[in-house]
Amino acid sequence: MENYNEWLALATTLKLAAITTIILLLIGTPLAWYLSKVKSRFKVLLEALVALPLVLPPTVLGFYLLILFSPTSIPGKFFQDVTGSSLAFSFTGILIGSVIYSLPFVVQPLQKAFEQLGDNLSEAGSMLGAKGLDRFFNITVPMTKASFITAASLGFAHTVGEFGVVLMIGGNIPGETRVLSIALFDHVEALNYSTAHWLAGSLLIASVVLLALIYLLNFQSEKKVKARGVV
Amino acid sequence: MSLNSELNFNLELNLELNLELSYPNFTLQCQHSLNLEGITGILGHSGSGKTSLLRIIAGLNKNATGTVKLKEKLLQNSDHKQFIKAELRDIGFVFQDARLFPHLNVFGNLEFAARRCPNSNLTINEVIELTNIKHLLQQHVELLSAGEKQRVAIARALLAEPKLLLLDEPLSALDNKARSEMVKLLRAIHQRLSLPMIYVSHSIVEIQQLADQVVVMENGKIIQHGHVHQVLNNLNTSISDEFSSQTSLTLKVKQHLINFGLTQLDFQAPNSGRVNLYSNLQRQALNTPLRCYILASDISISTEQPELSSIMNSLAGQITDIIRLNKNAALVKVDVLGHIFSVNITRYSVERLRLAKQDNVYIQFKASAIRSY
Repeated sequence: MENYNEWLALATTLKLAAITTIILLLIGTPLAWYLSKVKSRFKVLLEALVALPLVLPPTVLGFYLLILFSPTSIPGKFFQDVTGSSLAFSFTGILIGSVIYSLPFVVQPLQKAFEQLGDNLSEAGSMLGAKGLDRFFNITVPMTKASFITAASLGFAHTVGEFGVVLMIGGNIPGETRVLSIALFDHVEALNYSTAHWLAGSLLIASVVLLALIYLLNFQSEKKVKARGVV
Repeated sequence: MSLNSELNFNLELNLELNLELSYPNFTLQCQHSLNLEGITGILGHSGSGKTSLLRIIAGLNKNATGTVKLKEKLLQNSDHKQFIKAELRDIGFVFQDARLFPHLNVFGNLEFAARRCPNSNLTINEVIELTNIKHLLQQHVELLSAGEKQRVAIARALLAEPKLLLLDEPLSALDNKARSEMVKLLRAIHQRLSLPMIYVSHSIVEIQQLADQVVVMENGKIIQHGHVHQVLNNLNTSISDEFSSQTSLTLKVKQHLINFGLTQLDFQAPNSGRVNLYSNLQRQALNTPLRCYILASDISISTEQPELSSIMNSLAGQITDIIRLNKNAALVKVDVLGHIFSVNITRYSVERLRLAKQDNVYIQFKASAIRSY
């Protein structure tokens, strides 16, 4: 039974990270595109908001989200009226928290890639009759493929490593909000060090492997670019 | 499908510009109507606004106010917030830096254009043959030379079947040999497809070789517009020192005097007079029009008709202007049947021959003085 709970925590973690990554790509891509193109002063504020999770203690974010999610607040009440269940201490709740918390890890690499790519190739595309989305999917995306992979991997890995936000808004409900990092915390608190070692070690190795894969991919695409004589 | 019969690009293409573009330290202002017959050259120093003008016509610069009309079709009217997007203008653009898509090979770049073209008057194979890039098709675009890149860029632009092709200094990164090949290619394309082109360059050599009419820009304004030889031969010395000392003209190959290594050329003057000139340019087929130039220092002037002389070419004309170049030299402009020739002589000669405006004179130059690129 003990073992079953750890597998459940792993499944919850992977599910959370996967859905978070998909949502982040859907929201983060247009946001990064907008930030890379817009020249107004409003952009600076938006950039600061996106970067906030990088500097804010996760518990601060979690605290405000908890207040927002509570049935006494307007969004929390709205959610409860529509779905019949509470947003706090639910999978949807920690999903929203994760999306906000990992947002900069997806937006920033994409924004940087779009800025570096510039408008030149897109202009060339429009002079050949390609419209906006056509240019984006057939010029911009293939040209920034490596950054999309980096963004998705970082978003995924960062969500797997999340602890503070989930603890504040999710609690510890098996199959719903009990993710690996929370399970680990549980075991340490219960002085159950051997299971804690297993969990911590697996998380560490999985993270190293994932990050090494990202850097290998970037290294290879850079090497390819250099081999083609482009600096 | 044959290129000549099926591609009916409209020859009568009128471009009406009435626009203004302001930057903190630069203003572009244009009220001009251009009949885009043949190849229109836009000549000007860097910063004169020629690239900005081209980008406005293409729809790549949305900051200009005013109107742009191409063949009665309003491309932009800022008063009515009307702006047709670049991709809907049927205008092609060849960029200075080629801008091939690096994630596609050469064929992929061509296909990108062909797949988005609603018409199919031109096939990829026809364009590949026309631009001579068959051996490059499977290459990565980064591995191409500057000249090859531009050939692919031109092929790609043609496959979109534009009504007008804009070229922004496409030859500036090329060496001389590649440049002269590209000039020939562009003329060949123009002849075969009857595709109107606007060609922007700061190089008078390229404009002289390519353009049929020339627009000169300075400080964001169009300051001259007319037939290529007429504009180039009247160029103010402030625009170009390099060119004010040449005479530009188009000569048709009439016959080859093979025993003497000479070619007889037909000079058709603006006021419909015709004169035979002799040169030793021997490589061209009969009736080919050649873009030629004569250095001002290769022409001499005399006040009486030269009788027996080893100098093959002698023309009667009238002095329209005498410009002092420096302490020792003067540039004399001589009108021969409506075509202005530039003659560089010493100021001592000006004094000795007592040359003045309106004087009737004879200019002379050797067969070897007629040059072509």
